[in-house]
Amino acid sequence: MHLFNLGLGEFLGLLGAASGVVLALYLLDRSKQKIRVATLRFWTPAPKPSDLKNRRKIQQPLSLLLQLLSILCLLLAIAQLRWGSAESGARDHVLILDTSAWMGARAGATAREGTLLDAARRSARAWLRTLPSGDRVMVVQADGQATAVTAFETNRQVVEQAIAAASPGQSALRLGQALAFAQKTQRMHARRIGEVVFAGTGRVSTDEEKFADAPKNLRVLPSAGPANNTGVRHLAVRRAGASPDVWEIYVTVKNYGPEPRVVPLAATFGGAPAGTETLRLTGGAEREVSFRYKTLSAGVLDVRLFNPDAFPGDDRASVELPAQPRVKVAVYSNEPNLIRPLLTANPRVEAVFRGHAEMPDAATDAALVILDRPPRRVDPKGPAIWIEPAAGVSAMALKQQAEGVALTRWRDEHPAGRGLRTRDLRLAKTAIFAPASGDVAVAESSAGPVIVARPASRAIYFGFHPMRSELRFELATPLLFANIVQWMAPDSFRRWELNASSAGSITAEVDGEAEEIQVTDENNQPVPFTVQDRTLRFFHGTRGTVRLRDGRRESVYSLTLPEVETAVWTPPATVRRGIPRPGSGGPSATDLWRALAILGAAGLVTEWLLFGRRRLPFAVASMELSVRLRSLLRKPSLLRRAS
Amino acid sequence: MPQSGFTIERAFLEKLERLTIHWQKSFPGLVGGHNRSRFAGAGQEFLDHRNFQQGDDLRAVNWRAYMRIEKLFLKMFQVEPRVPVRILLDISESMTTGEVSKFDYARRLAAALCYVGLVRLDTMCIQPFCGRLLDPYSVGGGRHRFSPIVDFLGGLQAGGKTDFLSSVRQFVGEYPQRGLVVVISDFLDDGDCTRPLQYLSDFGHELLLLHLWADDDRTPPWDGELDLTDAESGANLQISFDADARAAYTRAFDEFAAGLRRMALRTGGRYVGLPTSVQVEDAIFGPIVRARGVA
Repeated sequence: MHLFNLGLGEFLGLLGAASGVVLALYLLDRSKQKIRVATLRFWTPAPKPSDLKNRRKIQQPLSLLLQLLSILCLLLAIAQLRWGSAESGARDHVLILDTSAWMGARAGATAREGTLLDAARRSARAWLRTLPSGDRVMVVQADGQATAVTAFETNRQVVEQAIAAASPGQSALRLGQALAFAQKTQRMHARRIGEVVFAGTGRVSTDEEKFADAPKNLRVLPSAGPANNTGVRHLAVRRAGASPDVWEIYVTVKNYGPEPRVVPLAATFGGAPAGTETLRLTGGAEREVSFRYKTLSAGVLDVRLFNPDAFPGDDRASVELPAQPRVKVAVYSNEPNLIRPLLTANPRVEAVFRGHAEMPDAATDAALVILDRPPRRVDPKGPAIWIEPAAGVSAMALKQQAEGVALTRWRDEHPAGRGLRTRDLRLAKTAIFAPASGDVAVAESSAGPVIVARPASRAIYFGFHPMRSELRFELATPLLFANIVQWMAPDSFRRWELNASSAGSITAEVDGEAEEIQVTDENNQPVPFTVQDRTLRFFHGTRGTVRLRDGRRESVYSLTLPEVETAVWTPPATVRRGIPRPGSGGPSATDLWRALAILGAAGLVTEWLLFGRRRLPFAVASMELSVRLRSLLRKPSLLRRAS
Repeated sequence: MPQSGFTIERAFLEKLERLTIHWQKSFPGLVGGHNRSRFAGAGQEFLDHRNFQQGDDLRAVNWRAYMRIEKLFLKMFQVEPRVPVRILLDISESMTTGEVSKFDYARRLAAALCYVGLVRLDTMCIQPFCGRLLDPYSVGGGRHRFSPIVDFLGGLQAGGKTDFLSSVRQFVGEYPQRGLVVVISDFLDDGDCTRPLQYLSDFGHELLLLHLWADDDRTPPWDGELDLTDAESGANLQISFDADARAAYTRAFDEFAAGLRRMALRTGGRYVGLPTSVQVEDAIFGPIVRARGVA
């Protein structure tokens, strides 16, 4: 027998204080009532013993005793009195609830039977009911990572709420990690180690299929699930290399069950059909199908499998395709036909040609401005290509005019000159620039720089006209302009790759340096990652979108597909299974607080009925009888007779 | 008609219009009941002519007959004697005890009886008393004189110690004309109130005793140790009270009420006991009508 909530000293102190208050109230209740009456002529005192007239004495000891006993019962109920073994018998258990994505699958043939998680909840509750009331339980939700949702709790209501609040996640179960977490938590925080209970199907990766490092105190509450399921494992979309307005769509579908299945697959873009295919999948087979879809506009690409199975969560995948951006280029030239071939060959460029008369003094709405031999000084305020600017027209200082100089070198240090080669190119007439600090020479002649880049203002200065010189016959000319446009508007040349996959660990190949790589979630918050041998890894355990920027490539991971593993964990033979018998979990104690609370309340009600101001008639009669009996017993003759 | 928180509902008054205050005695010098008198005297109704005698009032001479036959004839008028109805209203301190104030109840009852009397053109007099008689209020002449009665009753304040003997002595001295005396009181006097009432009856008045009590007055609801204070005298009594004592108390109270009844019947009067838990309207149309106080 032990008190759970109060120490003995606290209990006795509380009991003493409550008894004192009750006694004071009792005496106060029995004090004389002051009443104003019309006359005193009819009043006659009741034939009572003399001691009843004294308020300082206890007039109705039975009433006081009943009150004190009721208070004692209520205090013991508050203290959660238990009958049985001592407090040290209580154990601390960890309940691991499998909340992997697969637990959202239907448990039976019909939806009425609920999901696998519902079955696991039922098992967990049944196990919980077998525990002694003093045992503490911690609930851990396990999917890709193990998360404790409660501390070690004796309050079963809190534990039940945590079990009820569990919902299937997006990732697969990492069983080893969850069991290790449970063992570590028990070692660090448990007063007396109880069981580690796993409730779920145990659908794990093939690495953990034979996981044998199970703790000795493990108990498994297995949930049998359906075997047949076909789902989308991966959806990847990227721009075709040859034509940027064509998307290449790759869909990977897997049959998780042993039976062969025929699965219709349909892809739609903005509700319009984008491709269909009927897949014949043998048991356990995985197949990839591809489509091509041509569009420049943005929209949602939706891939759906039309196969009613137990797990509809992986029958659909969707990604949001971005629109193809185009660079607006404004060309101010009196000879537009010279430059037109350079720009119209690039599908990512949208060029507008205007004469020198339309040349604005300040900024335009174009992303890039080409000023072909401008007659006056302008300030475009943005990226600009200056071709043969006269002295004083542009911000670039001219050193001299030269004729018949050879173009000797393309500088790879700047993106505009990267990868360019020319041989024996002589420039009939060119301006030689005097670059300022921070300027970079893109092309140099024997007399000095003839093409200069100014990164601060994103401007390129040509000392000669590329289409009026010998350069127009060189392959380097379109490449030079492509490099310039890409340097000035990098977003339009970014390579897009869209993936719909499952949450969890993501692996991707990267080209750029680690400093250039950015991984952010949909809130633009950075996501931790590692890079090893050009392989990037990051973990994202919830649904969402993750962007990976790697130089000129941007990969978008739409983590909307549930991660479904193929293997089912087989526990070692030594592991205990199923629901134990009630009371088999070791020494236990019986709660007495309910009975004590009822007893206390009944005592108070009885006292009120028997001794209260509005006592019942039979109570009045019984009290009178007791008074008479007491008065009889006080008679000396009766006492003598009794002795 | 609100006055000092004392009101009488018009609907209640309308129900009273068919009632009449009744008395049984024939009072000396007056015609009892509601029979019209044949005595000649000062009045409104013409009765007869007689020959003028020396000393007659010249205002009653029929001058038209004198002009015609040159003889003096005197006009005689019918006397309209009225039995005075006097209400002795107890306003002592003991009337304020109880859950429902007996004082308010008594004022409503007095007002209702006055209205009944005024409707029948009786002369009503309200005489408050406690240890002595206070200023009375007399009214007659119809229902339109009722409003001042409400004002008068609303202005009364309860207080003082009851002394029936002193009050009755004063009453007999001030009202020599016999009539109906309605006593509205709890009759809780330290002395014996039956003797003064007997004296009043012996003097020639007809008594209608309306005995008021609160439920607490007849059956005290309290139990245990009680510290009692007399509302009038301030005397203190500490007793232990239980069901037996309560039964004895009720028995004593009923004996006191029975004594009052016996005295009233012995003297030719009437007695009506009225607990304040009964509405005034129900009291008038119930026990008072049954006792022939009004009909």
